[in-house]
Amino acid sequence: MLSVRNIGFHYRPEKEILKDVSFSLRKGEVLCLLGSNGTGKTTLLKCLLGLLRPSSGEAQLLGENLLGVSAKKRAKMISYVPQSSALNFPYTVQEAVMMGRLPHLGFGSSPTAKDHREVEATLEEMGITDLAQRYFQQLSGGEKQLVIIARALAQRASLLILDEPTSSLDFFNQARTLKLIKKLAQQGNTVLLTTHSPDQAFLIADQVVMIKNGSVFACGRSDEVITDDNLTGLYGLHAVVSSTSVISAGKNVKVCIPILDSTPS
Amino acid sequence: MTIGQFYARLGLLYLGLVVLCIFSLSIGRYDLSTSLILDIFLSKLNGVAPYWDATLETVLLDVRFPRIFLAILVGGALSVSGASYQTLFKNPMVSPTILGVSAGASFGAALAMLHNETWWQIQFYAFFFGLIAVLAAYMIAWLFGRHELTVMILAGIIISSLFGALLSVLKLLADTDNALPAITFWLMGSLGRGSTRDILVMLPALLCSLFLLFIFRYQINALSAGEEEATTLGVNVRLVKSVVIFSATLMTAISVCITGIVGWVGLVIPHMARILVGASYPRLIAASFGLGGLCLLLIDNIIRGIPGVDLPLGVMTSLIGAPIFVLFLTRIRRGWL
Repeated sequence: MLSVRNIGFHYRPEKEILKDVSFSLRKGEVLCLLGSNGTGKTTLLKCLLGLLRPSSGEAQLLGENLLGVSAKKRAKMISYVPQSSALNFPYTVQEAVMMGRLPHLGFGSSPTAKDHREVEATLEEMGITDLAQRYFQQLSGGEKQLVIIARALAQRASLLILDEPTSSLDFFNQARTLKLIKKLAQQGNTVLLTTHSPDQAFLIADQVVMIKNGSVFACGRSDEVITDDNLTGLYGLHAVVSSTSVISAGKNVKVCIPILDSTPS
Repeated sequence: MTIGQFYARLGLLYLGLVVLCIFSLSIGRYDLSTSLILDIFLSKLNGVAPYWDATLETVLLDVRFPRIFLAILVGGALSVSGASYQTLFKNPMVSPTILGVSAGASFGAALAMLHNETWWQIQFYAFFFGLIAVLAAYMIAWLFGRHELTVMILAGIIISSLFGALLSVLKLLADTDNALPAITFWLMGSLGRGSTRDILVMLPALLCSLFLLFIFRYQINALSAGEEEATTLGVNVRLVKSVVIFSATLMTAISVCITGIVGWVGLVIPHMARILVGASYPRLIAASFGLGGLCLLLIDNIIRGIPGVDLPLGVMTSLIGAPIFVLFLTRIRRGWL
């Protein structure tokens, strides 16, 4: 469904931010980008979203060249959830989610009854119908994140991109957001996200792409790629992957544990 | 707020504006009853012979009507410009003068007054230099910041400061008996010199600007989420930003060249409109225009109603606007703005 081939990006030719990044993603899958701060994850997302122009490579979504389409057409293909979103004026949740219908509006026209139905359906899907008339600014961080995801879902795009969707959330809201992403994938949505927590990749990702210094360091199924050696190589920190049995859930769960009192060999 | 509630509030607002208009026509030194006002207007349509003094007709049609109509147009134009700039810059403290249009227009008007130009030429100079100032700010932003909004605001501050300094130079050069008082009075704003010709000049520019803003209203609305998010929502940010700057500048420049400097309206009224209909830009422009017109007309009525003292419009809007803005600060503390 999504095919990224040899994407490169630089602000100055002598300092490449991204080098030959390639991966592919099938419909209904969740792909997680892992890597340290400043390694190029967000830059890669921005290239796919048309916010930055790659210096080389190509990206195709459903056979269409992503790098050559208009902003409006791209917004029908990809929806985006940023790390944080601020609306400086008193927009209600319903008005904020309605922004997601913008790519579907005709030139100069207002939202139709169908757009209103889509917004209501999205709020219901997300379980936030009761927030519809609340002001966005007055919501908690977790609620705001749900609203921004709802806005992205209202776009009804083929691919959902989330940039560190849990970075500013507490433990409960992190779990709520991850659960939601997993549910969206089970419903057939294709998801590409970045995270700083390899544990989250174990919980929700089908595939993992590790990026180091702008290049793909490792890529594949999450349980194959997230290993002690790869984590240590990726973050420069001694870390181990441990499998633990959760009896109440009836399954094994893998977690990543950094070893704080040792240095990588 | 439901669509029904929105239209009900908007309907009441514009009904209030119409009622205030009719009331405003009867305010002033000459006593004009509502029935006489109606007869004078009807006589222009069906050709009925006048039974009233010709002076009353002149007062109504050549003095009060243009002044009232201009108050509505200028108040509406400044408010919509303010609402548009605030949405574009994601900043509730932004006013229509942010890119230097008022400073440029003031310099232009003062330059014309220094050369004893006609009223028409003074307006043209004000309009021309208002546009030049915004164009200069836009070019600086383009050269150094690739249209980044923060750079654009800084460029506006630089240009405003430059034209402010040039205005001071002109004031120093001005003749203290004629030109300097004229410049000072112009800077304080007034609707007193408004004529039907001003309405005819202003209307096409205003309608063109409002039409552009209306066409792109949902794209402008998305800009309040930031440029990157707006792009991912399908907005051609560069185009929409240019449309907002062009339209808001045109409306502000044409208003300033007719009335002089009228502060606070473009800053305060959009916030009042948000309280009335919410923050969504498509609703906000409709409410801002009506509320801006209504408030400026109300303020002008107060000016006309104070006998013997012709307070400048800009002074009055500041006297009223400042305390209202303090009220908004309490809203900011509650996290509303």
